[in-house]
Amino acid sequence: MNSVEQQIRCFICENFFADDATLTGEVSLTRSGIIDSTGVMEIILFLETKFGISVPDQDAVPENLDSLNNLVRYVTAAQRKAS
Amino acid sequence: MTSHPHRLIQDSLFESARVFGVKEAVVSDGQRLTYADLLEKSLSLAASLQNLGLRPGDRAAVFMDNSVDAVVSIYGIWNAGGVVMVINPQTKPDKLSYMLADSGARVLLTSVNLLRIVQRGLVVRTDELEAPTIIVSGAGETHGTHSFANLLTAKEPRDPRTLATDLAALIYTSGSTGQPKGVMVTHQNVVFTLGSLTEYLRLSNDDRILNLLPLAFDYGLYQLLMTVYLGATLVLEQGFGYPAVIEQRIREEAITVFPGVPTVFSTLLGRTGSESGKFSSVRCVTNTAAALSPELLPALRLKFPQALIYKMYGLTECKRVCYLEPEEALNRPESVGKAIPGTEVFLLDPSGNPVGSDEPGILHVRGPHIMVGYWNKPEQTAQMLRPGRHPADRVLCTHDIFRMDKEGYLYFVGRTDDIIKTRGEKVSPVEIENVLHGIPGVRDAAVVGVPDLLLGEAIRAFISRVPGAHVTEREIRRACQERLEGFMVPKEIIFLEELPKTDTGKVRKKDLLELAPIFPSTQSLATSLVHS
Repeated sequence: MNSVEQQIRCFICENFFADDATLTGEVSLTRSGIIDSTGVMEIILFLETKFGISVPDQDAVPENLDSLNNLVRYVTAAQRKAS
Repeated sequence: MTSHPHRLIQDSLFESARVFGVKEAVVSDGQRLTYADLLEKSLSLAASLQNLGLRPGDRAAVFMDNSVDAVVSIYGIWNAGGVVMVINPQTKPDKLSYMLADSGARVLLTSVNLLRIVQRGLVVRTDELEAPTIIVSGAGETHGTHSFANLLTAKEPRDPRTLATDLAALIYTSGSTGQPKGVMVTHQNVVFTLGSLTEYLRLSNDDRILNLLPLAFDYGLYQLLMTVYLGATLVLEQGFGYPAVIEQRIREEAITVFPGVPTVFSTLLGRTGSESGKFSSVRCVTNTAAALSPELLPALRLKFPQALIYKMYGLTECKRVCYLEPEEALNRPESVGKAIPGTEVFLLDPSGNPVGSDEPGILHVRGPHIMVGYWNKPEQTAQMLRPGRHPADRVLCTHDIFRMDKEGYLYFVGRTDDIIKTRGEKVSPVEIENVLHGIPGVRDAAVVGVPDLLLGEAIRAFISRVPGAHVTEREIRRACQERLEGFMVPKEIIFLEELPKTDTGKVRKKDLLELAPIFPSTQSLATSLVHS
């Protein structure tokens, strides 16, 4: 089983063609041009289907979704809350 | 408010700084810039740009995210006498390179997060032009570039003696030939248009305008220009990916004007639903770039209960053509209204004769808002600008088909070109097809727009492979992602053994458009066609 980080990383690299080697945990996905406004929605959809969590509107903010680190932190917390 | 007539776009900055001084002009990413600050910084930058060799009439490119520094850059260039060209931060290296070469930009102002794209863009340049001077925001001096922050310490610029008839901006827009065209506008064009727009939108200096759209898009740029023209406040965001953030911004900043395109409204209404309440501070909502679907309107009214909702239509070549008075929205739900104040519209048949009321005709526009032409493209200019009523008058032929009712209200009927409108952006199929044709293993490619609930139109690419080639959907998507802005990357890729063609070898796009709805999904469509 891949870690949450690996799965998200893999999704971002596969779908948005980010460079795996330079995609560090802190890189802002929107400001570095990896995703645009509709990309955010694709990420939310991915999180909801892949990890079985629901991303309420108030959670769809850069602090949760705009970098690999933020995404991992958010998904891990959401999973913990659900279990 | 004015003590003398505004001739140049930046005159209103001097005026707003004099009258409003410490009032907030621009709020972005936690920074709050007053009119006094904006004037001072833009003058310092102007002096530095002149010291770096920018001469009156030189083009200067702004390739930055929506930010305070982008705003300072725009007014700094005007204060130096330059011609502003704002480039969408999503632009990829090849296109950036094309735009810099096409415009002959002498200076490029960018930010540190986009520097990688700039460097790659300058490498692919094949022209003989001198590389532009590069100024980087968010970084110190490095080899070959200047620090934006360091350029804000200079003193007053020399008066560049700009005239109202001088070029103010090149606004790049997609063209049917596949290469973006720089729409040339003068200070006079813009100052007139600002007066007309702010008049019919009934805006004032009390307004707080939220702009989510890129400043490279004329609709986004004009939110800034209207703000400064009025002495109002602009809240500048970097996109609409996070509806919760937008919602928070509307409330915290007591936004009164909300400009959007249909995709922005569906994202906002779709994600935030009904539980997030109403935006009662907003008194003006504007839509353009694509028609607002009638289904969206009731939800929009609930969300913005105090707002006048404006439906508008326009093209970069004249900024805006028409608008529907909000009070008429219920009586004429399908109309985009009448010509903006101070301008005229009329419909002609293909031979140039007027058409009767309710008859379809090609929309033509007259007025001081019409562009001077396309930069370096006299033939394409001639297709759009026609002789007018006297030697100095020119008429803009929009190539869009409308009908006009007896009371003079306009109704959009269709386009005569195959430009796709997706997410409010104009996309040339040829530009995407050029990229597709460059991918090894692709024999033929054609791109069409198909109706899409969220995007307006979604981009669908049909591809036939070179016999024996195995190029995959993934390889094609990757190639597109590397060369095209996100909104231009096809949503669907469908492989066919042969593309349907006319006797002269042209792809029959009509046939492609008709193909799709027969099949339930992309995958099954591809399978059935390849194996049939």
